[in-house]
Amino acid sequence: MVCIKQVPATTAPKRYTADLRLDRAAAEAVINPLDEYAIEQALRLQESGAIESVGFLSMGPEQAGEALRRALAMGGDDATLVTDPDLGGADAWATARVLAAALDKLAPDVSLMGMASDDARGSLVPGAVAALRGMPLLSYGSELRIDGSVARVRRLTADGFDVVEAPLPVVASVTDQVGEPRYASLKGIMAAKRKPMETWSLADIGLSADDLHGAALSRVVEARKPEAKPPTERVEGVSADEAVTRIADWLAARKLI
Amino acid sequence: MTYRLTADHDELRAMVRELADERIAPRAAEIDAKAEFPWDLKELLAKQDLIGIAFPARFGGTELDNIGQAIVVEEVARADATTSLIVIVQKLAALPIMLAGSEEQHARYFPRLASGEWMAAFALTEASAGSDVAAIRMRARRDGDEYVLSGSKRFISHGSIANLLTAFALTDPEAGGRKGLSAFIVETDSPGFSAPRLEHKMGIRGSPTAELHFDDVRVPVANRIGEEGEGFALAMATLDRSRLSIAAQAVGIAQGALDFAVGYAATREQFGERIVDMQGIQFMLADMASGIEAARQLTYAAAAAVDADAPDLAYWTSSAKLIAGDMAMRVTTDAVQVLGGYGYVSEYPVERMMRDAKITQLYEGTQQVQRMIVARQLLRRAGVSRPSS
Amino acid sequence: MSSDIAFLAEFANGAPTRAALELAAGAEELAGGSGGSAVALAYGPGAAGAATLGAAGASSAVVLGDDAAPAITHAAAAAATLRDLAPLALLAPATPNGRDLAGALVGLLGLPAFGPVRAVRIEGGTVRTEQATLQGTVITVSEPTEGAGRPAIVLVLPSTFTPREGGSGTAAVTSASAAAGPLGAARIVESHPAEAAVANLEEASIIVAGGRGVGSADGFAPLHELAAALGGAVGASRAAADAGWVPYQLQIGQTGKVVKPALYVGCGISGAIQHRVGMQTAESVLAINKDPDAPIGEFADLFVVGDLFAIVPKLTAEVRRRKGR
Repeated sequence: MVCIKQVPATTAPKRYTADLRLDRAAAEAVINPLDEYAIEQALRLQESGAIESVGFLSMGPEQAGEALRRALAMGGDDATLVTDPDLGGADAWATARVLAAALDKLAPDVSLMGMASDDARGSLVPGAVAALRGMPLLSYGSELRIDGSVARVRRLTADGFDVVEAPLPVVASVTDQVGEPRYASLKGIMAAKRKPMETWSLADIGLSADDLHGAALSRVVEARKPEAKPPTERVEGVSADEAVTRIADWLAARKLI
Repeated sequence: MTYRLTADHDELRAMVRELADERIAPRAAEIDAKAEFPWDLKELLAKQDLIGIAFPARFGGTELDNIGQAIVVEEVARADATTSLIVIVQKLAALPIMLAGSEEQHARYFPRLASGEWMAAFALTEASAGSDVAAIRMRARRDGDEYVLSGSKRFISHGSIANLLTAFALTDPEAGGRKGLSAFIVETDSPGFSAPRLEHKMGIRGSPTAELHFDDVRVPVANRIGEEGEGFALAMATLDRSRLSIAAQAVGIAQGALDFAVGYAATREQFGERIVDMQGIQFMLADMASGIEAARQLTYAAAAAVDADAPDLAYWTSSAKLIAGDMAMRVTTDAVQVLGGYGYVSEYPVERMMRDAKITQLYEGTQQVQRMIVARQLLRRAGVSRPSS
Repeated sequence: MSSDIAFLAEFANGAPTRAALELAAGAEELAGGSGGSAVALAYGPGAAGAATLGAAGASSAVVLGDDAAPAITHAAAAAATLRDLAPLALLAPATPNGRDLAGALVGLLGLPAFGPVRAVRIEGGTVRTEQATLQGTVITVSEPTEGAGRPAIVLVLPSTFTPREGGSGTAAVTSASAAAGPLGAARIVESHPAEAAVANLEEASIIVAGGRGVGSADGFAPLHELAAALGGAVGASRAAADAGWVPYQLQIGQTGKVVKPALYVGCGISGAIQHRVGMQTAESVLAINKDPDAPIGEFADLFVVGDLFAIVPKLTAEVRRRKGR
């Protein structure tokens, strides 16, 4: 089961609603690019026969169904969307709580996620879901392998890599080193329309709004644009020697040499 | 002719555009410079199921409607005209089989063509038989269970890389080109077939255009498409439908040129302001945009006519190709103008697009031939056709 | 409930990591504002010697485990400690290990989480954090809601705090004991250290980074020389790491390291958003690129349009000359 998130495209204009939550309706939405690597990893595992089926799970507004449809166009078998008015503005904890409850119900051998989301970038959800579900986490895999009842990831370390192993079922996350995500083929897009997609509310996964404390344990009290940097100083159309002198003077002025 | 674009069409366009922007556009300049057929992009299109868009689903195609096919061609051509021919020519060559071929021929050849495993070419034109198809000289002599093909073809797109040809030859020279022409499926590994020479072209340079020789090439009778003598009508019926692809290609090329010109004009500064803020440039861009839109809408209307198998579909497809081809030439020329001196050099893509656009006024019937077809239909509608025609 | 500020202190090769020292200084600073003290939650090889963190700013330290097990396997012990201590905040390094462990604590204890942040302060007894979201296009200030559990989990970017220098003191060390539970089932079965030493970019105050424009592994040689002359380290964009020109440990960006050096020099790097989020808080940014339209030209402090292979070797010589070497 691959968990995916719909995020605003990096090129789309973004704004916050009056109550300082991201206005997701206003932005062009795509699958979180790092989740596409998780999708690719899952599909490769399925193609190699290491796992039987691949499902997709997302939590978000109803249009997050589009992200699931796109994932299904890449491959996989079915999808589940958890959507509920009480989920707006969910933080890492609420997100993990909801995903964990949905995953408990779906009970996959591997709950796979991307290494981070393009918009929030906390990367706390995989660890939180593992804790909530009471199963080991294999995180930041540059490769995920399933071998019988054991899962392994290759994980970058400070100066090399480790192989980390845990018995199934596991929660796992993979990096962008697993291989470039495939494009959806035309037949994939057509087939995706016929693949089953279920929509669950909070009640369907045994949670209520009270369980989520208003979806967030934190709140944004201020949102602002970053302070403008001074304009770029450009050096163009000069010889290498002249450019070097200009750079060295600049470094010296900033006391960097 | 009315039509409606669906959410599926929008999704299709988004899919092809992403692929074309990320994978095809970055290759276009190199394909043009080296005049090499982009085998990598053929594989890519095959993998994404975009070669078999006109083929039946039961033979591995995706069976898009003609508007959907036009959208695919348009979006690929927006990135690279040469690469769009991979989709266009596969359908052009298969159309005679689709229209008049036997079930056995469909089952034998469509799976390989729809998957892109085999490439196909449409072998009609000869050195002395261009617009005048009836002047074809290539012969097909019956010999038992086989035909023996002899003669030459010229200007055959993909002729040198095709595994299969739909070739037109005279089975009854006495009856002449209109009555004595027949169509055949020729596998190019047949003894006696050769593609000795490629043309050096102004545009679509990565798409090989070949001269073909048939030196007593033996073709089983089972590979004849339709009946003897039906070749001319089949060739015309094929072109009436296939030139829709050229209209879509022209729209795509023009859109690519406009998109680049707008982006360029928004960053280029002269006299202290962006040239895109100058009214002179804005008027050019507006003319380009509205011209493209008019041609695109006519192309989709023509696609709907083909989908409906309308009796006057040739009126629509010829009008679309006429309008779109001329528009593409004008828009790409204007794109070069917007870029000024930069438009004239190969560092920027618009000069390539201008060279590519020219072919859309020439192949699958010149613009003059399109006018003849439109006029013929016009006279028929008005009830003023000559009794003999 | 206490006004203490806890922090995760990862040890490696018998010593606290740079991140642990930075967070110790940060926790001490924040504890000064909250009226509590800085408490280390130490794990990793060498964590038993956490008393030395006293010199870095910690008043006390709880040892979660002195072994090389994955960080998240210490989550149960950390959770038990935090339940007892109920500090105001837990600072966690925004590294893969720090995020795993912090994430597990969010799940186990139902805690508010923040970050990765570039500033954190205590205001009126409340934690307030500042983070760049939506790839740096918006800065948000956040705080826990009323009634949210303690501590607030705060992921802290490298170089947000500066390690204390020349400090002294010893932290009072205790040990946490809790069964690892199901999170403890992940174990390292193979370790493959690199053959050559790999620089830790997060410790470098000057970084010379190369991208696609460097063209090859050999193309990085002049960058190494410039870095040596400046007293810095070499980094890379994802394109260069993917091409195999440098190890992935040197990748800067969304899926690599997030760095905050005093000087960042980008050579042949276009400056795509994914790279930018990894270096945009550098104090000074110099970019050298052949392409006058490269996006890095929009946010560099000094943008030199030119051939890096013509400029960088001469710049190295000039830097050496001016430094009098």
